[in-house]
Amino acid sequence: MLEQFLKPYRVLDLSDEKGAFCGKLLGDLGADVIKVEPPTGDSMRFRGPFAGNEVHPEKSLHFLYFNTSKGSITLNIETSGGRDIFRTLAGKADVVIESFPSGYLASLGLDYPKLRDENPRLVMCSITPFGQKGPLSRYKAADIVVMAMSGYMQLIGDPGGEPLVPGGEQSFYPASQYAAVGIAAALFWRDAISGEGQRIDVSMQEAMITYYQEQTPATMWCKTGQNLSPIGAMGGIAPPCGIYPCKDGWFSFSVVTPEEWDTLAHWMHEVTGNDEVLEEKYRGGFFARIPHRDMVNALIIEFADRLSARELFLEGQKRNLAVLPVNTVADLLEDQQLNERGFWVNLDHPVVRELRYPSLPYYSGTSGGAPRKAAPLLGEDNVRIYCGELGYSLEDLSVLRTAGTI
Amino acid sequence: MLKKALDGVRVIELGLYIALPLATRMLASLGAEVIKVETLVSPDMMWFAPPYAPGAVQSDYRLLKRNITLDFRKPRGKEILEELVKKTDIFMTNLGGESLTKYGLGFDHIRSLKSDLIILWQTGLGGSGPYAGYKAYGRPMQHASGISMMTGTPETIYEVNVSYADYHTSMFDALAVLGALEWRRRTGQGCLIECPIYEAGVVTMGPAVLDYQANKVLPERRGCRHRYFAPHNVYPCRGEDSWCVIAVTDDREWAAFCDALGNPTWATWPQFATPAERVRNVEELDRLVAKWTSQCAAEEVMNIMQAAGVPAGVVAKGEDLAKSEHLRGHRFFREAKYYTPDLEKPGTRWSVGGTCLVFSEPLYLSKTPARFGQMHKVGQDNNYVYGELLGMSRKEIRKLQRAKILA
Repeated sequence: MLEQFLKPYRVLDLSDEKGAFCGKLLGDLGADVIKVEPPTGDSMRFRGPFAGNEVHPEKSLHFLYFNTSKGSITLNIETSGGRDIFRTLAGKADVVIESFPSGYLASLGLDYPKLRDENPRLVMCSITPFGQKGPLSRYKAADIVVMAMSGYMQLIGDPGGEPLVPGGEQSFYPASQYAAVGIAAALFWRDAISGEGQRIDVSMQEAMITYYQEQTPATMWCKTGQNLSPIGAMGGIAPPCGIYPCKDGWFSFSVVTPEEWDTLAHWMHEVTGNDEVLEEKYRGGFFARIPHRDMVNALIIEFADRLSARELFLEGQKRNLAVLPVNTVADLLEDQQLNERGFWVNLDHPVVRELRYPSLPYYSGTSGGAPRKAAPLLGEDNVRIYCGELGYSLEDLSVLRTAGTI
Repeated sequence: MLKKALDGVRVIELGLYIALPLATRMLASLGAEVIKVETLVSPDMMWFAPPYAPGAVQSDYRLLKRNITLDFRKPRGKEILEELVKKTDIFMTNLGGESLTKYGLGFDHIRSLKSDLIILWQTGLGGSGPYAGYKAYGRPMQHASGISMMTGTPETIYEVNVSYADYHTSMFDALAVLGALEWRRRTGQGCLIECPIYEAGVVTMGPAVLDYQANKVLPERRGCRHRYFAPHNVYPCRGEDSWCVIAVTDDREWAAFCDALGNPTWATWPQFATPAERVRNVEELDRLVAKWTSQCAAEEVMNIMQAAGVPAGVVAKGEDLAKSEHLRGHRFFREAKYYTPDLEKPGTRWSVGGTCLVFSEPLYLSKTPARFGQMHKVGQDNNYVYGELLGMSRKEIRKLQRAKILA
C-alpha cells in the first residue's frame, strides 16, 4: 500500500465536469474529497456514456471516471439551511473546489471572502471557462467552446478545410491539472510557511492555450502577421513527424535530431532502395526538411507501405527511433507495457461492478497515490458526515431530507 | 516583495525538450529556485525549434530559471553535480536510465547523496516493462496514448499538431513533486517517482476506456459533432475562413437557441423536438444552422448565442489571441526577451534576439501570485551556483571553465 501524498486534507468538491478532474487528482493522491451534490445529483450523473446504455444516475461512465476516490453528500446550497451546513463544513475543510458561473457563490453568500472570515486557512479554487474577471467571465462553455476560443481548433484539420476538435473532450483536463498544482502549492505554503489559505482562479481557455505553447500562436501573428493553419496529419511542425499510413493501418513518429534523420534515411534506403532519401539536402535538423515537406512525406509513405505498424514500431525502436503505434482504447487495454506495469486499477462499484481504470502516471515504490475507490453513490457519505462529524441524528437527517436541504 | 508559495525550495533540472522544462518553469513561477543544468556539448534541440530564429521561443521554457553549464559526463563534472544535489530539495530529469547509470548517476547513487531528496524521473514509455527504455517524444506519444483514433472524421484520423502528451506530462511532473514535498514535510522522507509520458496521455482517455469495457464501443470520429448533443458543431461565418462553434447541451439551451434565431419555423419541426431527434437529424439541422451563421460575423454569432445563454465561441486564431481584450486584462501574454545562440559555437556566443509573447501561468493565486520574469543565458549563473552555493573561488571556476567541465 502506497503512503499517500495528500492524505491529511479534506476537500469539498462543488464542481461539475469543468473541475471534477481536479478533485479526482487530489483524491487519488490521498485527500479526503467529498463531492457536495444537489439532492438530485451532479449534472455529470446524467451525461453519457452509460454502462449498458441505460440512463441511470449511478451508471454514467463519464461520472464514474472523473470521480474516483471521492465521497458524496447531498446538500442544497440554495436553501438557507443548506448554506449554513456548507459554511460549517467549509469552516473545517482545507480546500473548496468550485466551477459555478462567476458570481453565483457570492449571490449565496458562500464566496471566498465570506468563507475565509470563518476559516482563514481555507484554500478555495475556481475553475471556469474564462476565469473570474474580464469581459468573457460570464460566458458559458462546453468542451468545444474552450477548444475554439483557445485556438486549439486551428491546429487540426486539412489545409483550407473545416477546423476540427480533439476527441475525448480534452478541455476537461488541463485546467484541472493546473488547479491541482496550484492547490498543492497553496497547501504547502500554508503548512510549511505562512499558516494562511488563499484564493485560486483558473481559466480553462488559458490552460488550453498553454497546451500548444510550442506553436506560439500569438507570437507568430505579432512577428509574421500570419496565423497558424492546419496541415493534415503528416509533417506538422517539421517533417517527418505525425501519423503516416503503413501496410496495415497507421504508425506515428517524430524525427528530432540530425542523427535520427540519418538513421531513418538509411533504414528507408534498405527497405525501398530509393536513393533519393539519401540526398544531402534532407540532412540536418528541423529546418533542413521543412522546404521539402511533400517529398519527405511521399518517401515515408513509399517506405511504410511495405511494413506493418508492429514491424515499424519494433524495428524503429531497435534503431533508436521514436516510432510508436497509433492505438485505440481497445489496444491500450491489451497493451503489454501498460498491463505488465500494473497501470490499470480494478475498482468495484456497487451498481456497475468491476472495471479497469487508468491509474495516475506515477511509479514509486513507497509513496504517491492511485485511484483507490470507485465513484460514490449519490449521498453515500451523508451519515458519515452529517451524523459522524456534524452530530446530527438519523431523525434530523430525515427532517433535512424532507425539507429538501439534503 | 512578493510572497512565494515555494519559498526556500531548490530544484535541479537535468532535462531537455518540452514537458520537463515546462514543469520546472511552473515550479519557478511558484517561487522555487530552479537551477537548469545544461551542457552545450550536446545542446537541447529545442534551441532550434521551427519556425523562428534559434532561441526565439526558448523564453517559454526558461523563464525565471537559473542556468549553469556543466558537463556531468566528465568525472569532475559528475562530482560537482553530486555536491549540488546535496544542497537541493528536488532533482528532476528526463534522461534515460541507461545514460544516467553510464555516467555514474544511477538513482540509487543519487538517493544515497541526500536522504530526503525528492527525485522525479520523467520517462517516455516507462523505465521498466517490455518497452523499457524505448524512445519517445510527446508528439508521437499522443498517438500511442489514444487521442488521434478519436480525432477527425469517419474517413480519416488527424493529429493535434503539437507535442500534445508533453503538456499533460509537465503538469503531472509538477503535481508529483508538490505532493512529494508535502509528504516530506510530514514524514521527513524523500522518494523517487517515475512519470511516463505514455501513461500521462492515457489518463485523458478514461471515459472511453470505461465505455469500451462496459459497452464494447470504440469512440466514433464525428468531426465536431457530438454523440449526445445537437446542434454541436463548427459553423461557417461571414468572411474568409471564419468559424464559430455552437453547443446546445440541453432543452433549456435549445429553447434559448431558437429564441435567439427569432424562432424560425423549422425550430418547431417534430424532427428537432427532442435531443435524441436532433442528434438523429443532425445533417439537416446543421445545414439550417449554417445557413443562418454564414450571414453573420463569427463574433456576432458568439455574442448573440452567449447573450441567450447558449455556449458558443469563435474559432480563435493567433491574431484573436494577441488582440484579445479579455486575455490582456488577465496579462496572460507578456513580452519576454530571448537570446540567440550562435549556430557555430552555441553557448559561447550570444546575441539578444528580441522579444516574443510568452504565456504567464494560467494560475492566479491571491497571496502568492505566480511570478513572471526573463530567461537566463546559458551559464549566466555559474558564479552564483559554483561560487556562492558551492563555495568555489573565482580562480577554481575559471579553471573548470578552461578544462571544459563548465561547458
